[in-house]
Amino acid sequence: MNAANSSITLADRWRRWIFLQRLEVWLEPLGGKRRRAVLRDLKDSLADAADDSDMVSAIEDLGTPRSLARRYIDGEPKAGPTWFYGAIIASLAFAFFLYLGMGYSAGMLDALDSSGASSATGSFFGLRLDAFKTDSALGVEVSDFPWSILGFIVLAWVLGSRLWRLVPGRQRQTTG
Amino acid sequence: MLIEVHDPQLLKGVLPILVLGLLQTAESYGYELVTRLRQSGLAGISTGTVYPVLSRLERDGSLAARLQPSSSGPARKYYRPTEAGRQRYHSSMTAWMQLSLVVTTVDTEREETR
Repeated sequence: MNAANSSITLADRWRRWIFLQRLEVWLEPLGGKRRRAVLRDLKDSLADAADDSDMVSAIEDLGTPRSLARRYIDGEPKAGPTWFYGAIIASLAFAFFLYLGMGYSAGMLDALDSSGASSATGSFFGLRLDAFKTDSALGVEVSDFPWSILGFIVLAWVLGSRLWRLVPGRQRQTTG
Repeated sequence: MLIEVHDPQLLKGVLPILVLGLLQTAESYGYELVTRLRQSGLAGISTGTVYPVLSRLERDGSLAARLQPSSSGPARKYYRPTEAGRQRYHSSMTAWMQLSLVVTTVDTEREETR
């Protein structure tokens, strides 16, 4: 039952890497140091198990990445904020507003072009948009600070990060 | 005797006791411990059930770990119970015995009234 990590095939290394990457996403609430320790232990343990059977069976025996992560997280005295998810959701919220803003600006420019006017002013979630058209230029100027958009992105970050987990006195029940 | 424990809640309560008990006999690395649990009778126990328990016991200070170099692969992490782990094992075993006694008593009464 000696692990021969160096003898693991490239395909098995790839399978193990994929599994651990998926697991890492679900282990996000554990925190960096502890998460890395868990992943390091699992990596070595998979080599041992694969040496006894094969990598596919060894990975299957661990269960799905989500269920395995839940078993690790369930035993934690307190789950911390999920910064990674928060960053992703805030980025998605920002991208969403960027997409809408670009669509709105394109609409304004299209209206300018078809109406023959040289300028137009619009408002987009607190942002002032000044569209202009000259013989040599076509563009949109943005002014004012988008407080409402910033507030929405911050809200998305707070919800995604589960920031309320920082509130003192909030304690999960430990098991095992 | 090989058994399959189908109730995860039951296993969750008992597994730390079994892990601490086995590791008092001899230290083991993760996968070796799983095979020892299987040989002890928990035929269907999976690595995905045991590893989180090992990790938790180490985090709680019930287990200590040391790395032992391996000539054929990465260093292995061997676990052994700490003094706190041994105390936890004894108190858990006492509670388990008492619970087992109650279960047996109730079942005996049930048998007698049939």
